[in-house]
Amino acid sequence: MKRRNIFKSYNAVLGLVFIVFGVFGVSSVIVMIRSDGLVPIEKIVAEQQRGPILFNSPLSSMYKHKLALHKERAAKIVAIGSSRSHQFRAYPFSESFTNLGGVFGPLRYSEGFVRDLIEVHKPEIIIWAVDYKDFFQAPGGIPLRTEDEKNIFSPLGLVVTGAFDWKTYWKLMFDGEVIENFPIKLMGLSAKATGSGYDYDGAMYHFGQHYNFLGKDDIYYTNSRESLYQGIVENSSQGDRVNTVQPWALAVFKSILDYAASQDVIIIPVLVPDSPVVMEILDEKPDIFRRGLDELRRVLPHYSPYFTDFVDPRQYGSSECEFLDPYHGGEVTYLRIVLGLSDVPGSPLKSYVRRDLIGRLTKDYEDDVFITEGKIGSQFKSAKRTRFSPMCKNK
Amino acid sequence: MLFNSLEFLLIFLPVTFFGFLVAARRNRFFALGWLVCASLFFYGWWNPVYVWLIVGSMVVNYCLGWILCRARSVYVLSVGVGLNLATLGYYKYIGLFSETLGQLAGAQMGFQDVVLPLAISFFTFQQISYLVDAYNGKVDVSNWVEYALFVTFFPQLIAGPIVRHSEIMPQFLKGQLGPREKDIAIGVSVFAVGLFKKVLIADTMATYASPVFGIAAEGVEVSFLDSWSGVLAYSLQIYFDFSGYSDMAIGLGRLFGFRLPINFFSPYKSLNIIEFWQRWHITLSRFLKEYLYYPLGGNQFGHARQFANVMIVMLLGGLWHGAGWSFLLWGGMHGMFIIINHVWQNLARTMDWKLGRWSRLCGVLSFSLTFFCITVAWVLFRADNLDTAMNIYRGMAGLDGRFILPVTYENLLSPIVSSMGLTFVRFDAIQYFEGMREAGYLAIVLFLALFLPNTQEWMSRWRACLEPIEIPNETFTRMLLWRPSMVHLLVVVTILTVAVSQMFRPTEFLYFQF
Repeated sequence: MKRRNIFKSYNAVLGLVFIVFGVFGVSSVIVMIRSDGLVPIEKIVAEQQRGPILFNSPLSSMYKHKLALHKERAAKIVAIGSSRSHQFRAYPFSESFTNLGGVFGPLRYSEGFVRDLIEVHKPEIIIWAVDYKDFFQAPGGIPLRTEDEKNIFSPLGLVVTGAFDWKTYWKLMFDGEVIENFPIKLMGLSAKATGSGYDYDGAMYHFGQHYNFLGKDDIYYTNSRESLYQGIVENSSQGDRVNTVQPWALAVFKSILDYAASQDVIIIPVLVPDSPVVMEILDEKPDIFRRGLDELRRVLPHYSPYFTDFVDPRQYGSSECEFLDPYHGGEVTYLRIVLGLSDVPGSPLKSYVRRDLIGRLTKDYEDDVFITEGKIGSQFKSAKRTRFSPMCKNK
Repeated sequence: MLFNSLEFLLIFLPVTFFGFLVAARRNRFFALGWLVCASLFFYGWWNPVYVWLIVGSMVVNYCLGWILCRARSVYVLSVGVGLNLATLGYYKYIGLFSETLGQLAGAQMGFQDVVLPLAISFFTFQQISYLVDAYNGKVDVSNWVEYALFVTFFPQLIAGPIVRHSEIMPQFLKGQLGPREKDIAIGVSVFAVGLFKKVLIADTMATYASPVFGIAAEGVEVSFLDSWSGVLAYSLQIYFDFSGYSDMAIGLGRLFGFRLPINFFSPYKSLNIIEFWQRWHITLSRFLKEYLYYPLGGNQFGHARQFANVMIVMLLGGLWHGAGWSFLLWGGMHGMFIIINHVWQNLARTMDWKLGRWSRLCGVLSFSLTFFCITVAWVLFRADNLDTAMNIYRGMAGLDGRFILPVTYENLLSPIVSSMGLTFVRFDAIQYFEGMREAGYLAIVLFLALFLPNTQEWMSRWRACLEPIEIPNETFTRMLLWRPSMVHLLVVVTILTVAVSQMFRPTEFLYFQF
């Protein structure tokens, strides 16, 4: 009898544990529903075109989202790349433009995306925001996620693995929103949690950062010059292999360019910028810190006549204050790049860029991160003098 | 559906369990039928299209078994075994056959895209064993629902153990169906340990192993340390993956009041390769021995015939694990190890070697050699193809200038290296080996595998599985053994909670598609 009671108590506690698991499971389903996790991406994209809506969700495959956007907008010009292409926007172009950036991960997996996007709709020009560090990596890495996360327990997974905090999670569950009175409609878990998301054209807005609505892995500018320097030193001291352009990466690069050419699509590879402070550090020991980058700068022009180098923002007047973080330029920096791209002799973008508008905006918003005009920007007038970099001298 | 998924743990399992509890109180037929339906749902979750395959296979085998139980016909048995092997052959090997023929003849046969249905290797073998046992008069006719549950019972369906009809059927027919309180406590505790092994240990080891095999498949020359750390991590990954799965299967079976046969018993503690196969995937070894090795003649016709039989069994055993030449080679490599093991044992007997005071040292050497051989063979098992395997082997041997050490240790080690004249050693960035941190993890996990009692030993006082397990003698080990106390409850709840909190990482059972 006594033993039977022991088992009863033992099982009662186990049952209680499962009930607790169950309660968390139900909460996850509610968060999934309240953060639009069950809304088809095509519907979200269509709604965004009517906008203004910012959308971002770790439950959606960026791959699928951007291809759906590409299909919906069927633009003449597109941008591709990692998060370092996020600030290319539609308004500086006189022709239709969609930002398909953010999808690229390891180079070898990114090739498939280029093939898929051309299959969905053949653009005239692809602006490829090239991240020089991709060329120094070992091959492999994690394949791109091409399917949505439909598991109803995924929101719980995100909070358990630290992508969001519990406060955000419970707020989403009980209120359906985290940021009260946000001026733009937000869709998707990340957008609702951080206030940052993709606009109708696929470009990213980081107004959440301005309001300090940050997720744990924010891109907030937390690096000091010393910590940046230390990071670069450590990276450079890892031996030859990590500071050398890898042949496999060049082969993938060439393969992507060749495929696009075979489809009559022009690719403009653009080396995208590091912040001025990073460039200053690289300049201190160019033989060591800049070895791989300089090698790449020598090599890439042989692969494409359209190759352009915008790594150093000091060369085109973009200051430290215009950066979101050491490796992500802000909206103004990328306006300068678009202008620069159209200025390159023989540029296919020459007649596709609204030069007057860019000229005015870069003047009015010099040293700013955000342009506070337009459908979304005008809702955040107070963000005009936002500064992210602690090293911005013009605060 | 995977055991380590939340939809299984929070939806499927509770619904199935409580449904079974309710049904078991009312009617045996409904209770067993409920489990069959739940198991088919569990199977169909992966791809509902293939439910017809398992149902069709069950119908055909049930009918043939019914005939064999009444009339001992070798023709019926041959037809049954032939149909099962043909089905397995089509789904599992037609792609390999077609690809190989295509490479040789330069023509495509169009079978490359045949999808391997989940668990087909397991339910096919289980039903072959049923037919042979029926032919030998070892089983009685059972009703259709009982037979269906024998084949589909979800804890053992997708990755074993390969259960015999005579092992499970008496449990389906016992007086009071349904779990007792003891069964629930034991079942959940064993399941929790298995889940922990899978989610915490195997999946962590995968993060070290997969990138190494990934870059090797890309053709990148893998360095000495990368290849060894990757291979060792994989050895531990597959160990805890299968060990965890086997525990979960036994725990789930027990949760429903049924005892499943043991399938995994600390194989890395083996002192020779023959012992390894008595501890690793025990029910598969049993199947191969009883339904293949013995019919081939076993060891009855001299050494040469015995060794040939061993090699045939191991080659087919290798192919059973996967349709690829590397699996065949893996089986062949193990076959060779077993033959060498037999030769050595015969020699020791003939020469009447006495180890005496060297027995402990010999034990350590035997263990080390066995573990080394198993680890080296895993490369063939894990690599995508033979080129990848050779790439890893060259790395492990330090060939082609791959003897590279981390540049961070250059100051520490270069004086030693140069003083020893090891000119082939280089210091540079190696790709994945994380240095002392990774080495520490690997050492801890290896310690867990080698020095702690396994789950069935942990449960030996309460016999979670079908077979009785000897209670360990060591005082310290005996102290660790499970009992229904608050301390053990706390341990189980803790590991269950930790495991569930880690279930969000991407994962897949290695034994899932065999």
